[in-house]
Amino acid sequence: MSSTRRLPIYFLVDTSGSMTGDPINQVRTQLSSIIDGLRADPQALETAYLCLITFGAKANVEVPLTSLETFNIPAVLTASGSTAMGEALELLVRTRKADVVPKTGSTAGDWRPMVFLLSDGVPTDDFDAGIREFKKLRWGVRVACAVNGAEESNLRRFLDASDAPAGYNDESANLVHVSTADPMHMQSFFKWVSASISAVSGSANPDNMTSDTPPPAPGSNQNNSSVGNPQLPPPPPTLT
Amino acid sequence: MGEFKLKETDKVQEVSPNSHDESMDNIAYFIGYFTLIFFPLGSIIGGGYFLYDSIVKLDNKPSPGQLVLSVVCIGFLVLYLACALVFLCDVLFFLYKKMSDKNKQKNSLKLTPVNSENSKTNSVAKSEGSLVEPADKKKAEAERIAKEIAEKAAAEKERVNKKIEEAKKAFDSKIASLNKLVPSKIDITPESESYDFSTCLKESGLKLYPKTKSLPSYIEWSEGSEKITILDRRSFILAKSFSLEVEISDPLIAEDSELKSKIKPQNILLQFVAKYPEPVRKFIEWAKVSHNQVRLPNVKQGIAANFNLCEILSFDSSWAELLSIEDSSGSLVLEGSKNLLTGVIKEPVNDIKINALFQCKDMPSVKHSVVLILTCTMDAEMRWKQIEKSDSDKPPQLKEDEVSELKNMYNGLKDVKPLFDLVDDFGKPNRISFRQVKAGFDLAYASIRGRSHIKDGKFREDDIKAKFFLDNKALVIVVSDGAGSAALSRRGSQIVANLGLETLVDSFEKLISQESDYFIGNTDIEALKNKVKDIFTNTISSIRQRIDLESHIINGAKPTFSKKDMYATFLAAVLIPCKDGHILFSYSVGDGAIGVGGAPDEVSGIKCVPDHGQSAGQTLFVQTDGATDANKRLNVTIIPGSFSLMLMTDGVSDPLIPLDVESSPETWHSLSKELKCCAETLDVSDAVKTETFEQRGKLCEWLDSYQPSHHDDRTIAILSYNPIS
Repeated sequence: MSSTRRLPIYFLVDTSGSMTGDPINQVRTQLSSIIDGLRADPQALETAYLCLITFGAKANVEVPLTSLETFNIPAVLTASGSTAMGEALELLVRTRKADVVPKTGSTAGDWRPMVFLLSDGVPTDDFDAGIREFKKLRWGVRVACAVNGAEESNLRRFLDASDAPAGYNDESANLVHVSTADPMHMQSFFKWVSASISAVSGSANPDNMTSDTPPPAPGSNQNNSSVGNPQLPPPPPTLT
Repeated sequence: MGEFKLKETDKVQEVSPNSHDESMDNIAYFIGYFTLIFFPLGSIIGGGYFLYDSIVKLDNKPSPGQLVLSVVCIGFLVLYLACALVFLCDVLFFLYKKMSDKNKQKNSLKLTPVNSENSKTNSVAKSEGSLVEPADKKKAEAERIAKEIAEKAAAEKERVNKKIEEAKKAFDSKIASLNKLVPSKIDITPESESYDFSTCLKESGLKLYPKTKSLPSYIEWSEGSEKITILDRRSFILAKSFSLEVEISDPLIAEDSELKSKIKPQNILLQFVAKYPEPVRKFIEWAKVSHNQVRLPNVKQGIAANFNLCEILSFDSSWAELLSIEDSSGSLVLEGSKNLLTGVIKEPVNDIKINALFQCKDMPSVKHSVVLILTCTMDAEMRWKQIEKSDSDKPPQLKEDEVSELKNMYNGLKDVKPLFDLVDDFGKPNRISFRQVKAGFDLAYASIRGRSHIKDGKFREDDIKAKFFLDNKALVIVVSDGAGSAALSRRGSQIVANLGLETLVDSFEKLISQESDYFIGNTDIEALKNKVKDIFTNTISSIRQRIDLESHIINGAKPTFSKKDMYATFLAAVLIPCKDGHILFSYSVGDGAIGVGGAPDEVSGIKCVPDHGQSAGQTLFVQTDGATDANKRLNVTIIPGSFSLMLMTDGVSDPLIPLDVESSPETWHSLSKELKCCAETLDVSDAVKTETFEQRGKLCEWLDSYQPSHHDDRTIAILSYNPIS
């Protein structure tokens, strides 16, 4: 029997000072309801493994990669300090290298990790270094969430698919905006996150999940082989 | 008149020895008044101007004129001060003179009696003698009264002093005896969590008040009482001790106006020490550290939960006892030892709240409650089996608009023959099985809808077709897996299986009739291979054409529709008898597997290009590039004697065959044995059988086997060959 291929899902949550109070509490509550919701999906329950990384003055693995079955969001998430987003990406890379079983000739390994990055600010550390490390690996679905009108340019760099064929651009599809001031808005975002995870974990081939049907690479045949892969549900229109 | 005169002379006599020159006085007064009036005027005007110029207009540098004026003003000021001093001295001198005059008068009164006695004889002779006498009398009387008053005052003072001294002594001794009764360190024990001073104070009648302004919040000392009570034992034990300054006063003194101000109340410092048994202290310290809400590790539904609360909450049974458990789910109970929480939760629930009440072993009144939060997660296997049981035979769920949309698509296609079992929702039976036995061959296959499709109310997307030809001596099996996300992949796989089978059978019949030598005599495989490659390439082409045609027609009913919506894989095996046994042509596009077992090791193993769709862009479908790469995809094997041929979609191969052993003959030998056992139990029939979950055959049951996270459609075909002896 072949072992189950895990679908690692990393949540990178901004816990800088500006997230203090209601924003971070909302994120915590919504993450917690994602977990509850996903647990009702037997497919996600078997496949999904979650890891929570927070970044304020420092990046920290709040909950290491844990099966959905045993995962629990910490009772309290505290927010303070600056925005060590670069460090968070480096930590993500280190954590992934330690946790995720790579594909080898004889084993299929785990699926490519999904990454959700939530931030309401601008990195205060060496973001370039973090992005460099991040781009060295191949990732599955990446979603950047600009909280409360956060600046987009850094989040776009996180999404920029340099590992995809030339001309392939999924930036806009994966960048969403949420406002913590609007609970319904938050809820619709996290519902979409939950649906995306379900879609990926239920997919026959999560590695080829795309957020949108990408246009064929220029010069290549119309029968681009990645076409026809399962798709993420489209994010609610209010988020994009 | 005489009296008056005498007084006048008296005054003059008394004044004159001390009074110096009268004119000197007048000059001094003049200087005094002059300076008092004019100098300040001058200095105020001058100084004011100076101040205005040099301070208010700070930016201006003073001119020489201003400087001179300033110096003059300062000079005037100094002069004024000197004169004022002289005047002040004079005034003081004048006052002093007046005072000493009065004293002289008094002294003369006092001295009179002594003088009168000494000069009694002289006084008679003197002319003024008659006038002196009444004055002496008055003086003596006044003297007597004064003396009396002085004596009285002295006596009174002595009495008060004595009283104070006595009261002080009494107070001191009261305090001394109180000190003996009240130690400076007072132990508070669980037996008495208060301290009453009233018994100690009863005898002495002293009063005691807290002097410390802010008392610790955990104690109570209500006004007017002499009792201190521990209100919050926990805080007190955690604080270990507290000090209190008290004021001790004697009401006898406080109420006496003479003593009140003379004898101050005493302040003493008292320390109250928490003397509780060690277990109580430990319990309370634990209660402080342990959170009020503790999350227990998640449990799975139906699985016995067993929590050692001692470990989880890190308490020790030597000082804490779990008194009761209040579980809202009603599933968990306390075990005999009272620290084990056990039970089985049948249904998944989020955040069950369990109230655990603890008491301190040495002091049952000390309690602590902790809310335990427990999440019971679903057992995925259990859930899948529920889904399978309840929904396996249900038709796929379609929305109303989907039904009509599919109907429109169907109407467009229904005249384009052949239809290949096309129905109006493009669906197919949820589970099928088939078994046919022909000269030496035993063919069985089954295809089921995956649990994930059952759950989502979707169609089975796999398809399979098999056909004997050449007098049942040759056989074609085609298996196809429709792409998960493609809307009509079930039709795609149907076309692949049906058209693929027909095309291959026709082409090989033609090939065999043209090139019969190859199959009867010695065969030149390499020469034949090219022709077979063409056959497969052409087969794929005709499948593509058909899919293009159908998608074009459907596109008319649904403009967003394209051939991508009918993506499907292609696995085909063609078995033809030859001189050395059988020749197997196998061809694969996409994932899934073809393999041979039960034959000699050199010919057993995987018989297709392993394609597991692991790296992006490698998932192949009939429609995609590379499907016609026959050089890579065609596999030719000559199998002597008996064997088993197996074809399966990735729903079977992914969970069943680990990548590292997929080429190993042993894998295929054991798989063929397992499958043969299942296949042999099926009824032989020329028609494909539609099964239900309840009445499923052994092969379908085998396909239903649970593998975590593998819930795709599953299709398996097994062909066993045993030469007829």
